[in-house]
Amino acid sequence: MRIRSYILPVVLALLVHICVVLLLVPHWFQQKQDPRQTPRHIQATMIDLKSLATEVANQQQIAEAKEEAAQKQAEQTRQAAELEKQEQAEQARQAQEAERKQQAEAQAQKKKLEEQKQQEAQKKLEELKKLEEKNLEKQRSEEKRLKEVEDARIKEFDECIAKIKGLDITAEQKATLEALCNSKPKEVESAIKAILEKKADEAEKKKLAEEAKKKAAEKQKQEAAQKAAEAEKLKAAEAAKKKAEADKQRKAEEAKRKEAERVAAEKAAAEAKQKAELEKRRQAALEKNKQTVADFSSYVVSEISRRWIRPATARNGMQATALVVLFPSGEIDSVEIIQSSGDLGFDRSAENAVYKVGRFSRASEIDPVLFDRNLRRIKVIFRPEGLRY
Amino acid sequence: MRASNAVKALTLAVSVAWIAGCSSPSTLSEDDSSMGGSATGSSSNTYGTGDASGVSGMGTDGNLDVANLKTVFYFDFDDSTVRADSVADLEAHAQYLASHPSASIRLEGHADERGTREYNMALGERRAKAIERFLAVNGVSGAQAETISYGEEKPVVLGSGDGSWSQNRRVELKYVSR
Amino acid sequence: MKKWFISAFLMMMAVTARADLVVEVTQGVDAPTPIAVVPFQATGLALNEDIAQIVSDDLGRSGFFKPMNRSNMLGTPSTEEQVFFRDWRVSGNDYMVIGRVAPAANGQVQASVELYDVLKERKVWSETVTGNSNNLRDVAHYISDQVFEKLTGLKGAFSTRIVYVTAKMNTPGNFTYKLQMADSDGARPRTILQSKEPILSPAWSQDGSKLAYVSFESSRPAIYVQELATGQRQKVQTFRGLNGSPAWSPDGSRLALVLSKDGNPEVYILTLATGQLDRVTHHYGIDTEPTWAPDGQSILFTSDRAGLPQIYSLNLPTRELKRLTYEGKYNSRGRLTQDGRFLTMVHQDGSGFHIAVQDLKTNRLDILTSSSLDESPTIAPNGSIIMYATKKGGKGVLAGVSLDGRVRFTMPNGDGDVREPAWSPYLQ
Repeated sequence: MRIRSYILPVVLALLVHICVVLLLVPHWFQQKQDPRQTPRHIQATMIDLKSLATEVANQQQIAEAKEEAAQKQAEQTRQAAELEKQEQAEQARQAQEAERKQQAEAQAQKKKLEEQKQQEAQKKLEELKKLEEKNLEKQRSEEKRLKEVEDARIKEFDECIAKIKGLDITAEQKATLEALCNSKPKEVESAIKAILEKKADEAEKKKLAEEAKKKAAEKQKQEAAQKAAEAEKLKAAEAAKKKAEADKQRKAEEAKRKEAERVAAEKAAAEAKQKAELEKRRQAALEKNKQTVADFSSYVVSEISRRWIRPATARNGMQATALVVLFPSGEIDSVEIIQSSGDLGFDRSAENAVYKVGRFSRASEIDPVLFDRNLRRIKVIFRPEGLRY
Repeated sequence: MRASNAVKALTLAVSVAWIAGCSSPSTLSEDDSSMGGSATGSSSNTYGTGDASGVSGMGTDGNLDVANLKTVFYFDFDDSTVRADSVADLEAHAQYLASHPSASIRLEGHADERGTREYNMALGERRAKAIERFLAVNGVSGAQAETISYGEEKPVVLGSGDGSWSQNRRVELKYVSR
Repeated sequence: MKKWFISAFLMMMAVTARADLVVEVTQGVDAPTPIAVVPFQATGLALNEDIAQIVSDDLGRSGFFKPMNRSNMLGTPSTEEQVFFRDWRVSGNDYMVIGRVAPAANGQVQASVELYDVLKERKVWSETVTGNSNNLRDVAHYISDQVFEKLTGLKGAFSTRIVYVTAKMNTPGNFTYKLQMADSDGARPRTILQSKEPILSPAWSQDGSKLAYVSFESSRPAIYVQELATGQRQKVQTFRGLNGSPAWSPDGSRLALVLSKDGNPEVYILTLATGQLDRVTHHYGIDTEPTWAPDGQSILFTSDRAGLPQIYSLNLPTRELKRLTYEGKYNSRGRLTQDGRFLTMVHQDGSGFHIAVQDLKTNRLDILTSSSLDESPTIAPNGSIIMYATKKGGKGVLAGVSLDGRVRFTMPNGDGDVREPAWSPYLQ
């Protein structure tokens, strides 16, 4: 008996048994801890599906029956109501027919009258317009003519004075001639001629007389010498007088001239002041005009906005521009889409909004000149904001 | 010699271990919900372990009275997880079907009226398939179960309200052959 | 001299150039355009349809116009001479329609219609339309289309049709389903298909000749394509699981649809001529309710891959996926307007399921309805109205809302619960 050869098998067998035990131990313990509960008392009700179905069916049948009854009633009342309605409709229709005929006639007449009136009004307006324009034209040409006349007159006057200035004649004669310049400048030439001729005649006469005198003078040289001496004295006195007079006159003329200059200077100053005032007033007027234009703009916008029905096809980003031309009374002359939005409904809604205003009544309160220049033609840009899409 | 001995020992150990494993109680994991996409409603139930309540009409030795079992199983809104209160009866059905291979069923999935129709068709199918999977895990073969969805087209109650809707969110189990 | 200077100066000022005033109008009233459709005068015949009333209702439903209430009309002119524009202008109308109906040759009926701009006092359009005494509704809708087009520049959608499903309960669990077609205003309904099993998701082909829909008549959901003129139909290739949500490509050659044959609902494209199936989505979530973009280059669909249903867009050539809806926890069943700009959908918020519109240009979302069980929005081909299904007093009805939400209306009651409306394209 070889014990050694048995040791290994025995060890292996032991190992196997230990493994088995180890494997079985958890199972045994688990078995002990198995929480298999005792069945609870069941409170379940056995549902008979068939009876449930019949119950539901019963209820539904009742409901249906009720519905049917209600429907029948509704039918009856509806029929009765319909009959009544029909009768009433017949009566109403007949009455309407009679009325309609009457109304149609009256309305036709009314319309004719209105149309006539409108036409007349338009004609009148056009005539007025033409008259206005004519008057304006007339005025302008008249002014032009007047100006020309004045210019010519001034030219003539200046030439006249210039002619007189260079003449060798007496101051009195000059004065007479100057007076003529003012009143009858065309006669100055002949007057100058007459004076000059007169002067020439007188010069001739003087010469003859002097020769005669010379002869007599030799006879009376001595007496003449005395007389001459006295005459010279007289002459000298006269000359002195004349000089004094001439001086006086000269001084007077200078004084006059200075007066004239002063007056002219004053006039210029007054004119300049007036110009400045005018300028100020013009600026003020411009400001006022700007304000009026701004006020009118917001008036136009608010009137149109109140009446603009934005259509269902309007989308953010769309834009249309309408050109609106007004009469001075504020009534609409024409409305035209000059830039389309690309959407027909949108364009139409823009036009309609303007038409609905009808008359921009505040236009009649504005100065017609300003209105005509700035407010008669309006470009209305329709650019919706706050649309959903 | 020693090699064959070792093999014998190993075989013995393995067979003992296998027998030990077989007799421990079954614990089905909840992988139904994970396969059903991510339709987690507010009250998605992962059902508990071994809740063998409601063992109505279940005999002790496989003599199952299938006619008395529940055949309508309800679901939560927009959810297709098998609810806890459905488990016991489903298990019973599964047992029956597993032991009667010639029996076959039709699972009809439904949804309540809320939401859109084709999406509800898909929901109904998901619910029917959830039931089908549960049964499969419990031993029912694929050939025995057919699924179809009616979406919201065939409600059992016609009202609009939580009561009616909860009645309509269901899968109906119908025996085609016993 | 002084005075002369002053007056000359002022005269010069007056002669300087004129300038145009420029103003900007940005505000107004957002409202439908007021129009009066005066009852037509019928001479020598008794009509079974009130043409003017149909036109008036059409224009009002579109949301673009506010028709004048007949009881407020002071007169009923039927020729231009009888119209005093001032009266109609004073009662607030921008436009008006008058008409006369008289017998025509071959037992037909002739309607002479005129559309006036009340403010400009000018005729915008006039036409004499001939029709049969039993299709006066078509005459009326034609007139509505013309008026609509002349005033908005858009094509009218009043001569189109709608298709919808009705469900009537006979006994509990026992229903009769009908697929019906009616005029765009719900009149003259006729049945296209009747079944004991559910019908849903009707879809018009772009040329208006065919309908695709889902029917359970073969006891499983299947997609059918029916030719409207002949009534002939064909069942499209059916698979295990779901077959649903058919959507026609704009060129009519393909159908997008939903199948769950590969494990869960996915979107596929079926080429009708060849039967070739092209899978478009690959996700374990629910992908359903596909619809084509008008250019045929992308498909929008509902997916709950992010948890709850939202609407996504898949570009077909590049297969690039883009999520479109971010507001709200549930957005599904998207439909696009013909210009591709607006997306209508079913949107859930704290107060229920509503019809909403998203402007894809700005991603602004507007909720158009206040009812809480709305579904199945469908858009008129000119984008003016969205029709949808809702519940009123517990009963399923169809309702409509204009794209901007200004105007709402309910369709006349149907036979049972009405649902699943689908608006036809423009029909010849």
